[in-house]
Formats: sequence, structure tokens, C-alpha cells
Amino acid sequence: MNLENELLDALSLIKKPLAAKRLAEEIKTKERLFATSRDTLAEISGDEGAARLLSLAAALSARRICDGFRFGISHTDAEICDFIVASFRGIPVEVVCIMLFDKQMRPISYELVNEGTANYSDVVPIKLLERATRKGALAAIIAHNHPAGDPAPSAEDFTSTLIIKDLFDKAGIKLLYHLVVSGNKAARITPEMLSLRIEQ
Amino acid sequence: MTEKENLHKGHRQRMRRKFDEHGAKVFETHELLEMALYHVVPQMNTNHTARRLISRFGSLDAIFSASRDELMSVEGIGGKCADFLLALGRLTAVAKETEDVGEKSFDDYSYCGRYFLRLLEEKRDYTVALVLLDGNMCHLGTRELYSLDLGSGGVKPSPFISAAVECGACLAMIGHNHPHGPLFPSEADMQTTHLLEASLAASGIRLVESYIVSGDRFVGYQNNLSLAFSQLDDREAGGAVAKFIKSKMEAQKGNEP
Repeated sequence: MNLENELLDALSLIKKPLAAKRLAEEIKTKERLFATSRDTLAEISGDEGAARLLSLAAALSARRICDGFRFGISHTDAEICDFIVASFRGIPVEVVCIMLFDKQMRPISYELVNEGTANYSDVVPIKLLERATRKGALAAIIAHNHPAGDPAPSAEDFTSTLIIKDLFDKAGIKLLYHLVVSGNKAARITPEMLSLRIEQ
Repeated sequence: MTEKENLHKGHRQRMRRKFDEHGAKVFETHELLEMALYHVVPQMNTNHTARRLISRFGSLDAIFSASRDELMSVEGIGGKCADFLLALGRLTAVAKETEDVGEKSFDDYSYCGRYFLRLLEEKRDYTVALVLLDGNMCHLGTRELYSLDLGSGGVKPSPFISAAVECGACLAMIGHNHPHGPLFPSEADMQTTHLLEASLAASGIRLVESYIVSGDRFVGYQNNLSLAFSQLDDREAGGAVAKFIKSKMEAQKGNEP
């Protein structure tokens, strides 16, 4: 079933089929739909109610995956990535999160550390370290989103990862990787990539 | 008006304002569901209904995966509400990449690589596959053109051209396997690719990428040698391969005006 039919199904029931058509024409994919802010959705659809329901749908879609994720047990890397990617769904501003692991590499917590604007989030490395040490974590994954739609890490992302990694190394916490999420896509900056960049 | 009714007056507006100001993170799952139900239940208290749904099914995913009858067995859920939850369930499901390529756009390097990987990973013989695309990089068809004994990769352009013309394709991609490795293009691969590229171009069809599949990995080498190079690690590629690809890259740079 394509996006237009899914939107028509949901929005016809609340008597807003025209809004569904306009949205499907303008926003072609579900990942873009869920990454679009409520104001923009309202502007495209010309309907405040439809926009409100769709931002709720984005939040419910994220909860659907995140609520099923259990802490304190082992997960595969793919499950962890799916969880982190889903956690950013429907968030129109740049936010930074940290997932912490115990010594058996089981995730013990996932926290939002910082919330920024649509294209900027000021990550304070010491804030991340504080979260990690408070929980007694031995490893961590840092994640942030690019609401604009491109998961490619920027030069600043590499620099901040390097600073965070150095800080974590000194505290004896292993930084597994830094995940940059946009929509359903994610790119990761691994410590190996950092060493390659230094050599260059 | 009773005291209790007064307490709840403006509840929906307050919830909406809170959602607008703080987003979903400050809400419990049942509260999000409660707000979604506002759209189809104009007056009743949907908080209780949302709580009943969560306690009956256990999780949001289970609610959205339930059948219409199962949903209607919950107190407060009528036919319209059940239809709404089913529609919301379809909308909030995020499709995982499936085997069926359908109309998915082939404009993504990794997606195409994985597609060839699925197509060729089981093959024990040297196999060449051709993927045909329209002008919007949408999939028109896939043809397996050669399945020969290992090592005898003599490929002729005519079957490629006739398959592409038959499909009405204007773009094409090829992929072949190296059943016993290595994951890099040989000199013969490069020559064949150039030959195919020129022959298809003469028929108005552009060859956009060529992939090699070996084991559970793939590499696209035609347009993006630097990418191919970055995907090969030293252990796998060995010095000779690195040198080979570097020389190709330099030759390509030298050809640029």
C-alpha cells in the first residue's frame, strides 16, 4: 500500500481526504512525512487537524518500536540502531542522545542529553560524560539527528566525536560509535574512521 | 455541572497545548493514544479507552497489529474507532526493506549493492545480471544473462542491448559475482564494462553502475572507483589490488580535461 492510500485511509475517517491528497502529492515518502514539522504539514495540507494527527502518528510510530525495546538484556547491533533511529522520528529539531552499556554490553539506559534548533545542537562533551559516569556505564553510543534530511556527518560531527572519544577514553568508557540519523537512514562515525581522518 | 465535569473541562485543549509546546517526549504512550482517539471520539473520555487498550493488548505494537474484531471487543471501541486504529496502525508501521523491489527507486548505491547481493549470493557459477531502469531510476526488470563456468567470463553486448530495448529501459546496471573472490574488478572486468557501456550508449541506454558481489559483500566500481577503493580493507585487497585501483583512478583523472 502506498503513502497516498495509507493517508487517505486514516484521514478520510476524520473527513479530511483533501488534506491526504495534498500531503501525498507534496511529501512522497513516509520518512519525510514523519520528519516534517507540524507547521509545515498544516501549511501543505491546509488543515490544522490533519497536521496534528500526523505529528501524533509520527510519535506513535516511534513509540511502537521504542516501547518494545528492553534494557538490561543483550541486543544485536541492528536492533540497537533500529531503536535509536526510531527514537528520533517526529523530532523536528536537532537533539543529542546517549545510549549507555554495562560491562556485558547490555544497554542500560538511553537519554536525551541536549536539544537544539532545527539545524544546530550544541553538544557539551562533559555533559555526556557526566551521564555516563552517573550510570556507571563502561561503553556508550552517541546519537544525534539531522532534521534537514541528510544523514552524512559534517566536519563538526567528526571533530566533536573526536573530542568526546578522547574524554571518554580518559574516563575508561569506550565510545562504540557516533550515529547520525536522518529519517530512516543513519550513518555512523566509528573510532576507526577517526584514526583514518587523522592520518589524512 | 458537577465538580468532576468542571475538572475535565478544557482537558483536550490542555493536552494539545502541552503536545505543541513540549512534543511527544513528555507523554506516556496511553496519553498519545488518547489524543489520537480525540479525532474519532468527539466527546467521551478517551483516556480510559486508551488505558483499556494498553492493558488488553500489552503494547502499542500489539494494538496496531490486532484485528478489527479484537479491537471492538474492548469497551469504548466501536466500528469507526476500530477502523481508525487499523488505519493508524498501517500508517505508523515503518516498512522494512523487503525482497520485493516493487517500484522502489534504484538511486541508492547501497540498496543496489544489496539487491545484487541477494540476486547473486547463492550462485556458484560466474553469473552476470542486468537491472533495467527507467529515467527516474525505477525498476523495470532484471535479467540473468550469463551463467557460465567459473573463469570463462566471455561477455557479448548483444543480449544486454536486446533485453534493454525490449524493456524500454533508458538506464541500466550490471552486477556479476566472483564466487571465490576477490572483491575487486579484474582487468577483464574493466574491459568488459567499457565495452558494454559503449555498446549500450550507442543504443541510447546509459550504464550507470557495475557491481561485483563476493561472499556477503559488494562493491560498485564503474563510476566511483574511489568509493570502491575505500570499501576494500588492506587485508582483503592486498597491496596489488590497491595499486591496481589507484592506477585506474589516476588514469581516470588523467583523462579528465
